[in-house]
Amino acid sequence: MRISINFIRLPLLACAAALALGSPAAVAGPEDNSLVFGQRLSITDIGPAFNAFLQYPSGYEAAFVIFDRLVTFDDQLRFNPQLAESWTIAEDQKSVTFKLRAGATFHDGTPINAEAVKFNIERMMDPEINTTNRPLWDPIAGADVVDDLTVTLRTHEPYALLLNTLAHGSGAILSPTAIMENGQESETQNPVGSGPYKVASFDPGLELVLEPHEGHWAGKPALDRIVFRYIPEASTRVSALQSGDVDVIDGVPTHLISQIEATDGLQILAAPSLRPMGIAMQTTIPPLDNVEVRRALNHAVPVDAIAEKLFLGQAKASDSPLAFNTVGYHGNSPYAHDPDKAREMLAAAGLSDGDGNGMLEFDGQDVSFTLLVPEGVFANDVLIAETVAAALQDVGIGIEIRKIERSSFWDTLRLPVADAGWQLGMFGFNPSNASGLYHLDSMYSSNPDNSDRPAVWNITRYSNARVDELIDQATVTVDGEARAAILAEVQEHIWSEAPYVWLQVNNIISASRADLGGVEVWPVIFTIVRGGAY
Amino acid sequence: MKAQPIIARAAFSARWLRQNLYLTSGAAILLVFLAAAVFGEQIAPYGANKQNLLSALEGPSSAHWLGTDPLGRDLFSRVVIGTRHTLSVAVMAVSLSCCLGVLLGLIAGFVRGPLATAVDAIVDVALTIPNMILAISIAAVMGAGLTGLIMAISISFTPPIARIVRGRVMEIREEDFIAAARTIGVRPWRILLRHVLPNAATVIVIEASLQAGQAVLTATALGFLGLGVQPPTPEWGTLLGYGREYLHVAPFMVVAPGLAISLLVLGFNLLGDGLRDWLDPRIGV
Repeated sequence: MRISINFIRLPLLACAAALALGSPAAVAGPEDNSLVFGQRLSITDIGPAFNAFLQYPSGYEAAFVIFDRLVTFDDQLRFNPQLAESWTIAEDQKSVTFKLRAGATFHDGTPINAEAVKFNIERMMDPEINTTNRPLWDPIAGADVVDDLTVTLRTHEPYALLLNTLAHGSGAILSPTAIMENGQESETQNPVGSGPYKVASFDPGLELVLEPHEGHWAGKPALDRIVFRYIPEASTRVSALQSGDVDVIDGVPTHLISQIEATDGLQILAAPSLRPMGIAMQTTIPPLDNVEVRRALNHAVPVDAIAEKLFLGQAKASDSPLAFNTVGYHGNSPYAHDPDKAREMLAAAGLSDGDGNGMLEFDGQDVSFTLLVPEGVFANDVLIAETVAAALQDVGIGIEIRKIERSSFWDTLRLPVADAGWQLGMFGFNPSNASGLYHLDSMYSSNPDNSDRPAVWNITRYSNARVDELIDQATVTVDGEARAAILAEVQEHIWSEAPYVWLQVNNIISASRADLGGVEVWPVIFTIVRGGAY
Repeated sequence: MKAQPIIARAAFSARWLRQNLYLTSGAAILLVFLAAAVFGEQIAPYGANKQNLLSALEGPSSAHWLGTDPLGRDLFSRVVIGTRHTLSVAVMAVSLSCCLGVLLGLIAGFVRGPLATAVDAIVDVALTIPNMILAISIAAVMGAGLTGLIMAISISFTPPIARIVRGRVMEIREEDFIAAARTIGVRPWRILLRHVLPNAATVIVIEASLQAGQAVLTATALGFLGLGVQPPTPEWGTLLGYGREYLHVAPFMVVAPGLAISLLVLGFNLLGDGLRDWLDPRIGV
């Protein structure tokens, strides 16, 4: 008799794993002075140019360790000097002069001077090279070398967000020598910056190993080694942290927080994110071109329940296109969860169930949408998609969920409408320079051509001339309060015209060994290990 | 030569049932799953996708026998209704791979010449690639979905069937009655269909039922890896994959689909082994 024993393997393994993971234990001490960061997304590209810093946010998290910028953020997103020691704004507000730190060098020994800064600024101004962060760099007119350690940046108009741009990942200052010698695209795999750690080895998609840059201007770095390791599975990351295989992890699911808190020697690092999640609606496709239909869908989805039950309180229902802590945020009156109201609004918009099959029809056809969702890119992404699908089906709208591989997710979101194959797509924009204006501009300024790929991230093809005008106005308004007032009106327009089914703003939750200090979680969803020390 | 042994032996009696314990217990298990597949909605106490966030992640209770998932869906109902999916994938995939495998096996075993050599070579090469790897690659190329899943499994399961059928056919080809048929001028395709195929049937039936168990495992493994179906389909492997994320807080989430997978595979394996004991005692022990 030959009974295959294979049949018990898979489920038994799962059960054995259940037992093995059940008991929390204290973590072991670090054997060497190194930091291993278990990331939920892999790093495939480290440079600021071309398709900058893939994948998001892993590439940025590595870039902030390898590169210095003129200015940087702290964990409250205030500006701190980095390569620039100080700066002065000209009276006409159209130029800023930076005084550079003396004695700083790149990993390859090249000195950091005004010429090197000018080289990098001009490189990012080139649309052929810097393809993904256009709204940040288009307002800049040029850079002038004043003396060896002084550089002036000129802007076309007063540019309110110049410092945000310079503190953004694409403000990284790279060694011009390395770029000239190795080619424009060499930075994606072999970047030469001036940060406290330099690349020792890089296996794209798997592991990035950094070693100290002995000559760093801030002194010898605290760690002997930093390793970025790709661990896609959330429960595997948590186990690796518990067993001491890694020292920091990101993307901790809410239901595993208690597990980490129960383990001696571990700590949770959390911050509310600046990324409001939503379901993008293709606003050029009927019936989603009707604002009443979009509002109705907002009333159909139980966002409060998602925040409370799926995130166990680690999230809050949005009331603006911007997250609560974004500079310029302005709250609006929420779309209350009310399926009956949603049904009435849909009926008023001409969607009705004429044939009694339980699904609404529009133009004689059942209304059914494809909902695009990645797995493991956003917290609880697939579960949220299932909740949204059930809620929309409840009011009579057919939903087919299309789960897509994470590496092709971002590209599929940006496909031209005709080829996209989706009408609803889960998305959240992270203003990686911490600016609400950048956020609104990237997501809601009209596209030059709605049938093509979106110019930046306006994947809903939302278009409102008044919003465009206000955003242009805000861009040249340097005064913070005046700018906030303009942005408030922008948010009111967008919120009420609902190009998204607005969802939640959730906390970013990372975790680390308790004896590891200096690791920061920034609200722009980055976990920054640059200052890590035991 | 026993040409139609199946019907001749189908004399059911208590003694027969006892003697064929594997066969009968395998068939009994499969009948239960078949009932779940056909009458899933009637048996399940809740809808497969009926969400209730207020009762999310509850352990087994009288209201939810196997507990609930993070969206408050009843796991017992999801597993029962998901039976249809897994069972039909296994059956369809194995039927397809049998058709293809038998065709290739007949050609490779019966025909002589370059065609047989070519088929042989292809099957040989395909056999060197592990089933699971082949299935994952095919599923990855075809994308998540039912068609991709069935194609992936049936293509990866074809080579072993082709190989077994070929072996049996080469054995039969040398029998006297085939030579006799040739001598009196029976056409080759007629020999193949009337004389070779019925004699190879036993081997095919046994292999198919054993492969069905493997197909269940492959299908659920692909679902586990996220290559199976689109949410919210309650496919067992997908349920198991979901459950893995929650092992720390809700270990019962993997128990329900895990047990179902084990039992169904056990059913197919018992049936296959029982069939072999019954139909072909020579290769039994």
